[in-house]
Order: sequence, then C-alpha cells, then structure tokens
Amino acid sequence: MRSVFLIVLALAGLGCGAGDGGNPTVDGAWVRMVPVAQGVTAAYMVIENDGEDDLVLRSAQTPAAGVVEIHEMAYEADVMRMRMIEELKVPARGKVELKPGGLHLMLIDLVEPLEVGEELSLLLYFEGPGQRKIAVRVRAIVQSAVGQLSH
Amino acid sequence: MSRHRWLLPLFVCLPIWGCEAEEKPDSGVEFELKEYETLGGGFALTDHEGRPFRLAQLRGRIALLFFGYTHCPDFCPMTLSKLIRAFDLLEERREEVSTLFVSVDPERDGPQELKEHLEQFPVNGIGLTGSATRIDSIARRYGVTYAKRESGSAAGYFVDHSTYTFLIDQQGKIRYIFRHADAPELIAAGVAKLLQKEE
Repeated sequence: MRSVFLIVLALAGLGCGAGDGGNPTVDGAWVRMVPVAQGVTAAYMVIENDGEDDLVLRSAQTPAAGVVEIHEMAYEADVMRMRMIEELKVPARGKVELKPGGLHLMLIDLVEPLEVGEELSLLLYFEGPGQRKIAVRVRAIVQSAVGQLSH
Repeated sequence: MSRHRWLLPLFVCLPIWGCEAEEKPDSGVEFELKEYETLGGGFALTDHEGRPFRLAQLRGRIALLFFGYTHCPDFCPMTLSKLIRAFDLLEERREEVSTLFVSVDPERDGPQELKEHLEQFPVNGIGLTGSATRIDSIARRYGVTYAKRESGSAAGYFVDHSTYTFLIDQQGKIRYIFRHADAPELIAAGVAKLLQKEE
C-alpha cells in the first residue's frame, strides 16, 4: 500500500515537471586552496531543491580528506563562533547557499596537496534521493577574494 | 629615508585618486580616524620566523592587526582575502603596510604553522605567537575576547574569537577598528588616510 502511495507521489512529481531525477542540483562548488600541512579547508556551493519536499543533507565524503563535516558560522557581538551541525535542510522549492562567513563543508585531514584549478570529487548524501556526486574546483586564495567581491 | 621613500608612489597615485573621486563622488573614500584612549599598546611576541617581535619595531609603518588561528577554515582566510583586496587597492603604497596575525591558538600555531599559512596571502604578513598568558594579556588590552571550545569535530577544538581588524598608525596607536562586515575599500581608505597624514 505504502509503495503504491509512493508511486502515485512520484507520478505526481513527474506531472509537475519536478521529478526529473536532477533534484537536488548543486552549482558553483569550490574549495579554498590551502597548504596540506594546514590540514583543513572549507568547501562552498549552492544546493537547490526544486522538489515539493524539504531535503536533508546528512553527510559528505571525498577521497581528498579524511572527514567532511557540515559547519555553520555565527556572529554575536563581533565574536565569530563556528559550530558543527548534524544535518542541513534544503527547503522545498528553495535553496541553501554555502558561502564564506556562513555555512560550509569543512574538509579535515587533507590527504594530499591541493592544486589550483583541479577538481575534487565530493559525494553528498541526502536523505531520500540518496547520494549526489559533484566536482569541486580548487580556487586560490586570491581568486576566492575576487569571487567574494562578485557576490 | 623612510620618510621620503613613499612620496614618489603617492605623487603617482594622487592624480588617479583625484579622477576616481570626480567620477564617483560617493565612493566612500572619506575616512575619519579615531582615538582610543584605553585600548591597544605595545607588546612582545615571536614571529613566524621564530624571531622576537615587538610592535615598536614597526614604528613609521602602518599595521593592520587581527586575532585568528590557522585551523580556522572560513573566517580567518576570509579576513585575509579581504586584506588582499585592500592591499591591491593601495597599489604601490602597500609596501608601507604590514598585516599582523596574532594567533589565539598558541597550542597549535607555532612559527612554522603561521609561516605556511601566511605564505598564501600577499599582505606583508607577520604571524605572531607566544605563551597563552602573554596572548591573553594582549587580547585583553585590545578588547578582544577568545575562547577555546570543544566542538565534537574531527578537527579538534574551535576557538571563538572577536573579529576586529585594528588599524595601527605609524606611532603604534589604534586609529580605527574595522568590523567583519567592513569592505576592503574602507580598509584601504583608512590606510590611505594615515599615509596622507604623514605627509
């Protein structure tokens, strides 16, 4: 019974043009170049959800780093506080922007030196649609400085 | 020598600034320096080459000072990226300015870590570290708070810290405190004001 219900839901989704299998879409993913000795860096991207249901990013993984975590920044009385969050909700028909000074994926224990211009492969695990494999471009600090200005 | 070395670039730059001001009268180049009676002052730490450093040795130069740590993957590189942009805006006059990065994580940031971190940022960076007691005392005198916090992260602890960038004049005094949302244009304008004042 439950599966019939799900099929109906999926068909309804197709009817609306939302169930094209592309959901969620991830755009403009980049990671800041750092020396491997520093061991940590941050990745940014825009995750868009054109579906009718909220999506939840549970975790991420890359061969380039030992661990990937979801982090959030907050500013209170000019003090910067970073904290790890367990999951990231991408609202239905909405998007979440991971950008400097806000949300980011933190890559911890970098495996080997990053090279500017290269693309890291990153797997994002969403509850529901499952995993999405994306390419994340390594940007030099100076490029990322310019990138910030264009936002 | 140091009084005159910057005059040539200043003459080259002034006409350019003049033109820009005509085109964009509201470009925000007007900058008001401030005085902070109770904040700031000299200090002694160790630099990223392992050498002793005193603020007084910068006398005659301008400094942009902020507190951060190398394991900070987002905010600190963002501040440094902003400073790169401000240095670009300063063009030749950038040579009169140093960036001081005081670590609030002396446990993990030794001279070598600071050196590798700052090598990525073309901002005449000087990485500074020292004993926790000494850094505590400097932070207090600059009105900066920081706190080590267990995070549950695989990266170990985080250090929450104030996000101010201090504009320090040629006599070692704080003349403005930038906040994290301030644009690189404002930072460059502050430095330019101090350079003009010296004239």
